[in-house]
Amino acid sequence: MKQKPIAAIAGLGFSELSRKPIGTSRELAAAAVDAAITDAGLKRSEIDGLLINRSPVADPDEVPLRLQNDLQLRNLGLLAAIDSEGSSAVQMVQYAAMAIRHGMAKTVVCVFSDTPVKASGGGNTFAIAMPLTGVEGWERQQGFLGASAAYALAARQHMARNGTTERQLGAYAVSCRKWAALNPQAFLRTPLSIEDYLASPMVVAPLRMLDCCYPVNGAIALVVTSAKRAENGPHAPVYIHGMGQGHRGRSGLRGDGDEIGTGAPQAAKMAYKNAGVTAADVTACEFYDAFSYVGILALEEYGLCKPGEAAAYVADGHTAPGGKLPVNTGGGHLSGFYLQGVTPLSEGVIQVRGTGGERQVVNNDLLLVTGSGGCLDYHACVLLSPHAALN
Amino acid sequence: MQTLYDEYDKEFLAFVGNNELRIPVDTKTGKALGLHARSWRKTAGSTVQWQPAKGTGTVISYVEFHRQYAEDFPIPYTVALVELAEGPQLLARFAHAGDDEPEVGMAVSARFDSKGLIFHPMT
Repeated sequence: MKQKPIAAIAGLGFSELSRKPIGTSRELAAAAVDAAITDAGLKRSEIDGLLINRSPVADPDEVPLRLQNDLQLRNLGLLAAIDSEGSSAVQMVQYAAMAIRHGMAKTVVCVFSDTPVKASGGGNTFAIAMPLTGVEGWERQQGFLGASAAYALAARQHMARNGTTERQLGAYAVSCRKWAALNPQAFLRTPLSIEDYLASPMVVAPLRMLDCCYPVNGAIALVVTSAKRAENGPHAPVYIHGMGQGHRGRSGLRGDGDEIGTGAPQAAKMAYKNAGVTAADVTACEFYDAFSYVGILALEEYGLCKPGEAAAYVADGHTAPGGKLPVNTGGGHLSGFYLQGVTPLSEGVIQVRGTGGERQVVNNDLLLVTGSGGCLDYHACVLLSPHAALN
Repeated sequence: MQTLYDEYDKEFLAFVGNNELRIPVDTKTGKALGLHARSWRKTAGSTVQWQPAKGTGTVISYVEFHRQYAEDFPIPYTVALVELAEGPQLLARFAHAGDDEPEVGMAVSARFDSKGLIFHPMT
């Protein structure tokens, strides 16, 4: 007998997305939740679970648990804020699926909302000192500031070890821009060449401005329910077939395994196993790719390319429109928009539903959607499909 | 966001403030611990102690800042991730000596300046 899906995504809702201030994160969260409930053909009264994902650099009260009251969601059987940085959005869907599977809730709304772009611009929101060393305050003392710096450090290691070049990082950005050009919701759609990429200013070398994500203000919500209930909704269900997490931690010690390696392979192994598939069955990917390097690394760590071969694979055009493995088909974080984990999740839902318009992938049989937080510290993934049973 | 310091952080930062690099070493085995393995500081019966490090190491990775994030760090400047001779890894600024650009694998040694610890290429 074919394996049954764990649960399904039945609703997807967006608030307005903008590079300008358009309201508070709390207001935008409510708008997205309502949009998702409507999209699922449901009423607020039918929601019995609410999961919230806030930006790790935002004040927790920006999207409080009191969002429940704003929406007048009564008698919830599940209410929590999930706090695993960039892996939280995928984790929300996982916990919703588990709660539904085990009878704690029937229909759960998962929402992420953030307003990183202020009236003065968005430049300083992510100018944080990422704690890599193990001593709090050390990075600030050393001027090691900005999320870009932490990822640049990891990218340089990959370059030194595998011969990954700046042009190959650029090829990833160009591939994402080609997808964004086909997505009316993407923010950066102007055609991009490798020469344009190489001319873009360095932020923290080896990463340029065009290696970095494009933050926006906005919120996205998803409605998760049982496969059976989703089949009665207005849209084709997006079945959840596999779920995994991997959190490898840091030792900071020489010789303790491969220090470049992250928890992603562990997440991948678990998800492929519980879906009864292998990496070779994945037909398209929606990665959490806040920096170009992260998308390249994900191809390797999720088993889609051999270690050290993903950069060349991207440069050969395999991840771009028309390529054999479409990656970040909405433009991803670099050219689509950066709303952390709900950027890849929302695009995964659109692709599995087959509503991607010009950017719709030919084969949407099995989409891999990932989340990644900290500096490659926290990983979660789901496998989505339009098919209730995988062959 | 406000940085929350434990005694562990304060001790390490105070050593550096005194121009001293100390790392956690298990006195029973003689092995150094990564700076992430903080729990020894409050573990009953722990045999780990802060001990002076040689201050030498090898560059594992490095980045160059071209965007200024803070007034007290004018660009450009370089920060390197270094594997210390005893094993633990430490991030710190890298001092360019003449035309010496950092390279992965380069031997460095720790010195101290007004901002704290800084790695210099070994000559």
